[in-house]
Amino acid sequence: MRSLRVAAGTGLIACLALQGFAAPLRVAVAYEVTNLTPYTPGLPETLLELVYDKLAAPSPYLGNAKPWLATAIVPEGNDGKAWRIQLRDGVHWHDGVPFTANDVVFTLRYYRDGTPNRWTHHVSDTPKLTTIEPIDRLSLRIGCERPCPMFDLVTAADLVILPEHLWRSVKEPHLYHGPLVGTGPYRVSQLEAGRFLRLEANRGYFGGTPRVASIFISFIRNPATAFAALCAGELDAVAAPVPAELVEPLAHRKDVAVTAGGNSPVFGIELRVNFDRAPFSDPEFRRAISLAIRPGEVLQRVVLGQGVVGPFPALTSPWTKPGLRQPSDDPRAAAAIFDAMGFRDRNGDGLREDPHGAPIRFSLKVSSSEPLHQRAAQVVARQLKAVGFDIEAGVVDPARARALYTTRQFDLLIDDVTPHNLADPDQLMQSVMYGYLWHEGKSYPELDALINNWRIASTVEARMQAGFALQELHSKAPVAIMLYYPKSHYAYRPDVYAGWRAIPGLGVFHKWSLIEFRDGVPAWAKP
Amino acid sequence: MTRTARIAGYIVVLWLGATANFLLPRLLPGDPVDFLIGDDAGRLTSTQRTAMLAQFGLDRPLLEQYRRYLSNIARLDLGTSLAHGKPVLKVIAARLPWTLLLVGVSIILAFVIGFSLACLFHWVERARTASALMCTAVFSGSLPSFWVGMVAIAFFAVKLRWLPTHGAASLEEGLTLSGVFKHSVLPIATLTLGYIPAVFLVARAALEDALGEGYVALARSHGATPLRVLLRQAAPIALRPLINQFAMSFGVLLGGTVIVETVFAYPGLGLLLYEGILALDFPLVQGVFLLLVFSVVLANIAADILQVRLDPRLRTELDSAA
Repeated sequence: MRSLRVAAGTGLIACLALQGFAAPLRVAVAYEVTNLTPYTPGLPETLLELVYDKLAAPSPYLGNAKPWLATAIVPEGNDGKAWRIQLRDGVHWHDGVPFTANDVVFTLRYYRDGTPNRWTHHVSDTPKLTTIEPIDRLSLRIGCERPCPMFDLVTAADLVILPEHLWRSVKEPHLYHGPLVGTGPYRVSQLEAGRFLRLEANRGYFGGTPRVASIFISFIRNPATAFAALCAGELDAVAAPVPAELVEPLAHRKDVAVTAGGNSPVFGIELRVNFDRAPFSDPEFRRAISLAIRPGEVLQRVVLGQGVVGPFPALTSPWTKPGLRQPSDDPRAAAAIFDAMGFRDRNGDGLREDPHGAPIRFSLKVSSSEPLHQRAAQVVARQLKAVGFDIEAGVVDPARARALYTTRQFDLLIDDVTPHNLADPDQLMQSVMYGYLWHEGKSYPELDALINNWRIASTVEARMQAGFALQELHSKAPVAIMLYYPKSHYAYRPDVYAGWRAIPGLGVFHKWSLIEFRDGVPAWAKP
Repeated sequence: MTRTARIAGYIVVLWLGATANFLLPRLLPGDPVDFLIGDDAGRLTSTQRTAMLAQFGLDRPLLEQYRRYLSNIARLDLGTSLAHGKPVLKVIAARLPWTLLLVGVSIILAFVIGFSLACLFHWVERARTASALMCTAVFSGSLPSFWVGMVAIAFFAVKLRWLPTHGAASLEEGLTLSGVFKHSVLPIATLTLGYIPAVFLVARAALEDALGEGYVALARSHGATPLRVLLRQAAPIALRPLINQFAMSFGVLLGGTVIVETVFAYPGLGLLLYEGILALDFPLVQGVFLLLVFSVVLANIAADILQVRLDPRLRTELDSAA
């Protein structure tokens, strides 16, 4: 009888919570939602996770992931290669089919063996899962080719789980247009590409009660339009960060609230150095370039000081070596290195020539869709000119900027770097092996030794230490020179919904802002 | 030029347009897999990369892709969009009505207003008023539509709250006539404002030519008022060059919607094209460009036919050439 009363009370609270926000919440995102699967290009995990769940939550970035779809993820044996996963009972897919271990087994195998997407390397490469076997209806066992001591903290928090009954026959997942069914707090009610996505609360969500009954997500590429729509009362929140110049004006409005997205940014703007091209292939040259950069000035001039400067990866992340430093702010030391390498001004024009006396000019590319990057490029070009290099800062369309980067046809390039690259320890290994920070096969014996140490590390502590060593090596001669970590601000209409929680690396628009936790608010979700 | 030569010319233009359309996206460095996978595309093995390209028919040699592309066009199969994972024709069909609404209304408004202003220019006798009209036209034509759109949003949507800032219809109310109308006002006004000066300048020059004709002088000598001469004698003749302008404007305005639709988050072809370019979505970009090429050529064919119908001298020329 008592449990009946408790259930009725919980139901009543849930109904009241939903009634309180009966009108659809209107949120703008800055990307077009063409579909909603892990294979949809360009889709952020925060949106995906409104519909789907991961084995662990909230993210791999802060070392605080706890079982979510799972109830326990425990190591088996001492070699760090095997894990047993126990799943929640009573979880259902949005179409009513019970969630079981078969779904997890299917998803992990599908990611490992099938068509890649941006997350699949977490089971097909780093780590590479060799065995994925069900034990019973709600538990499974996985084994890794090499030690995977951070499976529970990282891998399990990286991958959303798909329903086997809908995906098992899908051969071309990028073309999937079947029902968009997950276990998450919201179910897809309508998706009109280019216009909106409508989500409805999944009232039986295992992790808590959705606090908003319905969400309209519209797509607005231009940030000025999105924030104008917020001011005009057409939107209740904008998922994208507020541009620095709009923070003050928005903060002064009575109908709009601006919240800082946590004081520990895990999103940054970096100067990418093409290590495949001479002279940037020389670690000494890269170190000198890094020394010539004054990130503080870039931060001040580009985003009016709203942010912090720091090394790559983000110091916020527990996976980053404490006290890691990026060489910077020392143009004299940079000049001395250039001189010693033979890059001197021989003809007195104020610009250095290469060791053979030939004039040199480097290009610095930025995307035309990123005005702040263009501003940063001007400052960086001036800083490098101060140490004697002629820099041609060029703006190219976004597709070309990306293509120049992927085909390695650039000298220097300014771009965003996401939490996935800045704070995911497994991604660090991907980065040093597959082109972002270095690539496999390109000679760097010191790096090869560290990669090997990382691979054989079988405990979290050993893996962290191996990661720290990799970061230390990168910092000596960085190919990703961090310019700044902007402090992200988010704007919303507090009279409509004020439950936004800023979580580093996830911003405010994520499912943790939209559910009433059943068993109390976890520490990581507290505002 | 004979009719056959004209038709052959149109076919060559269409073929050239289709070929350029095939080649241009492929001249960009990189490939669509970089978009599908993101920064991690570098870790794909060549087998994985080829397998992904094969899903979209992009793994074949260029010549074979081209052959397939042409034969698919003949069957109205424009391929599958990478970003949408759907047939390009279906994706375009969903967006086309929105752009046609913007472009269609904008063209009509720009022609009505531009031609009226040109008539006004010739009717007013004060040089200062005419100069002011000319200056205003040139000035408004040089305003970037991005800026005009943002100012319109700031004033009419944020300050006055008369009109919505973005989208094609109200999310809550769905597709209602009043909602669609309200949402289209600012994008249409922005497009129209940008195109009026072009129409005005062409119409002004055409009217000036027409007013110099002998029959106009004859009408004047018979005592017709300046307004009557302008509207009854000169204006019908001056409309003819505008027919060509009308055909050309179709392409110009379809292209112009890229910026306006991005500013107003309007879900038409312009925004689709922009997103397609960002995504290196070859099939989609090709499909939209192909539509632009065909619509411009078809509009020109229509303008030619209309010209011949309206001007008996052209009919005689064609007949004698044949």
